[in-house]
Amino acid sequence: MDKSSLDGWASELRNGVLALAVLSQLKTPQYGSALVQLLEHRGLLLDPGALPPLLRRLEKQKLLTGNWDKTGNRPRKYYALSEAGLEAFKQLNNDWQNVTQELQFLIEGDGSHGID
Amino acid sequence: MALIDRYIGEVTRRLPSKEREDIGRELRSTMEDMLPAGYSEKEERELLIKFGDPAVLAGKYRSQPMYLIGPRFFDLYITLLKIIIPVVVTVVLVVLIITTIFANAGEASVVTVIVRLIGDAISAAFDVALHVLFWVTLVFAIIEWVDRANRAAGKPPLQFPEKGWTPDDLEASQEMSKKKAIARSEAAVDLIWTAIWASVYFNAGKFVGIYEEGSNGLEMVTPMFNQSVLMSYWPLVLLIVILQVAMDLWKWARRRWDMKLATFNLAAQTLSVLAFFLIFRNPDIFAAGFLARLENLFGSLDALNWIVGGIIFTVALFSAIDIFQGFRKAAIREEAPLKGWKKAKKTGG
Repeated sequence: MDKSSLDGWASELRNGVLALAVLSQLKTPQYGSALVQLLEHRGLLLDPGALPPLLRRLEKQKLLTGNWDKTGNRPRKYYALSEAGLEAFKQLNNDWQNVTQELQFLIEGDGSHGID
Repeated sequence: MALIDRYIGEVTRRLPSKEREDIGRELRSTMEDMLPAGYSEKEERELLIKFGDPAVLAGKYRSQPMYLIGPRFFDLYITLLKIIIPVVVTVVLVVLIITTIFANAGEASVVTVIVRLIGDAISAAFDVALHVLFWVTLVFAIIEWVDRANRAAGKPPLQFPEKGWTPDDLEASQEMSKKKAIARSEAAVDLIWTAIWASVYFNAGKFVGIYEEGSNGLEMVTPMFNQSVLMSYWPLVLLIVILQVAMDLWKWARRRWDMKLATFNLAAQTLSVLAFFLIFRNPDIFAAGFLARLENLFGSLDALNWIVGGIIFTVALFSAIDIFQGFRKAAIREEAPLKGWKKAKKTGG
């Protein structure tokens, strides 16, 4: 398989879980660039340009609240989970736990388990 | 600073005006925050490279997808184009050929007419295909746009067929027995044939007759038919044309013989033979000039009666065969693939 098609899958995998990663970090308010740095550091964000549009979409869906802090010399917008956002996070997290668990079985198992 | 400003301008100018300011502020805050205090232009450039093409970034902000026809309608769009373009091009070409023949009958040499016809045919085919492509695309783009607005407003999406796909839809597309099938090409040839003889009938006076070498190439010296007598049958002929066209379209759409189609075929064919018989039985149908020429040529008109009788008999015979074939094919029973398989298994084991 050539390298570019592998890259496509790798970034698609990260795109799918990016929303969950963002929600998980917003139980306490956080601002955009701090999130970018955190997620990049963890290797979860390959394209920093993906984050601002995602934050905006989540805010539009009322899963996040956004508040401008203009006290410093650089204005920053702090995002935090709303109540609906917390609920969404719990659900997504459940799904994610199931997926990783089942996937782990598939990857590690020798095929003799489960349905015959 | 200047570079980031321009970059953000490039992103926001692609977005709806009411969102521009907000998005610009958010983006600027995040991007500037990622640069160290007192950053250089080099660092600024590196940051912009990480964020990438502003058009792509703007695309991520859009709730509306950037396509004309989405995946929900694309398949139907392509299917329709594949059906409509060949049909329309064929009809236009047939009409072009017929009108060219009539417009040039006995006036220009055959070679020049054919050369001109080929040129006209290519440009007409191209022209009409482009037209169809444009209009079908426009209609689908509007459907897509309406559907998108509907879904955004929380209304149910448009669907073809109306209730969405169900397993019942498979039945219609199930593989039919080859013996019952009507090829699309057969229906198309029938349609063209209907167009040709209808055109010949309505233009027989200008076109069908005896030709002789004259000063301007071939010239028609006398028409074959008495046009006013021939035209007195027009309501009957028009009825047959309509029936035939309806049947040809039915064949095109249904693509198989069944009892209804076979019965329709019986009616249409019987009516055609009847009309043929009525028209040629009329002693005034042939033009006087034509009869005089024949008499000169053969000495008497006895042969004509035999020829006309023979033609009527042949037409009736072929119609009878066609009617019979229709019913025979309609009567072939379809065996479901599963039943055939079961039977084979039973005999086998």
